[in-house]
Amino acid sequence: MLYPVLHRMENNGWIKSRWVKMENGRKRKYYSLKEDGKNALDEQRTQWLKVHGVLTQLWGEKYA
Amino acid sequence: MRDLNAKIAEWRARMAAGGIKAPAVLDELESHLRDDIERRMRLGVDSCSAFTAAAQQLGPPAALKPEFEKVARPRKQILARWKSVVAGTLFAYSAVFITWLVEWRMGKIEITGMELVLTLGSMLTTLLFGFAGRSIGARIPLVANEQKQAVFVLMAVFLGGASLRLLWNCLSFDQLVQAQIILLWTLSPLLGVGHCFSVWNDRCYTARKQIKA
Repeated sequence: MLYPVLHRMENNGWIKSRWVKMENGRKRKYYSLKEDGKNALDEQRTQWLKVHGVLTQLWGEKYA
Repeated sequence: MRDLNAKIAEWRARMAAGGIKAPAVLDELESHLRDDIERRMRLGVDSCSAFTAAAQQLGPPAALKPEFEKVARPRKQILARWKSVVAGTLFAYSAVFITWLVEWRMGKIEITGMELVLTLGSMLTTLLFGFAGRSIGARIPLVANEQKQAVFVLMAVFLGGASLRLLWNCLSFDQLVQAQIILLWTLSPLLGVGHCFSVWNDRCYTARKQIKA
């Protein structure tokens, strides 16, 4: 389920949301990335690369 | 269309009965449901089957509720941690503070109004330095070289210690109460410096790993 994840990201201040009224009168919620979200993404990417680096060292270069 | 709206209203009531009560969340889910129904109807499916399929795709409230509950949990955990830090600090301070008050009431020591202000001030500065240290640590420029970082830390510790020693010499407090106030004032920058270096060190470590990778 996507929405709980979006809400959690919004709670963390990574993304922001706004309701937009469409032509047919209905509302739709739009999410956009914030500066903090970009930083968090960089951090997560760094951590992932760290884990990847360790696993590559353990298992050998041929799996990199 | 009237029929479809009634069905959606009924679906919304079922969701609310199943424990998803926040109107904002229900609005969002309903918007998603309506988009899905429209998409299916454009493909030639009739409104009744489109609704059934879309509702099934979204899932029953029993499956959705635990997912939404997970959202609130991490925030609660963070709050709980901060509350315990704040409570611990305040407890330590209030213990000292109450001891003074008791001794002051019993006439063993004299506390002036200024000293009371200083004490409360020292409590506030400790909390402020704690927060300030964290945010400064997150902003110091990164140092790629490990030796350079070590030299920087040693210099900062030396200079910090030296200035603290000078400060100590300049002030000639003879009363125990005043010494305690000074102790609390000096503990607060230490807390800030500790926080600052721990955050900064984490960031430098991560950056170095990133460069190597």
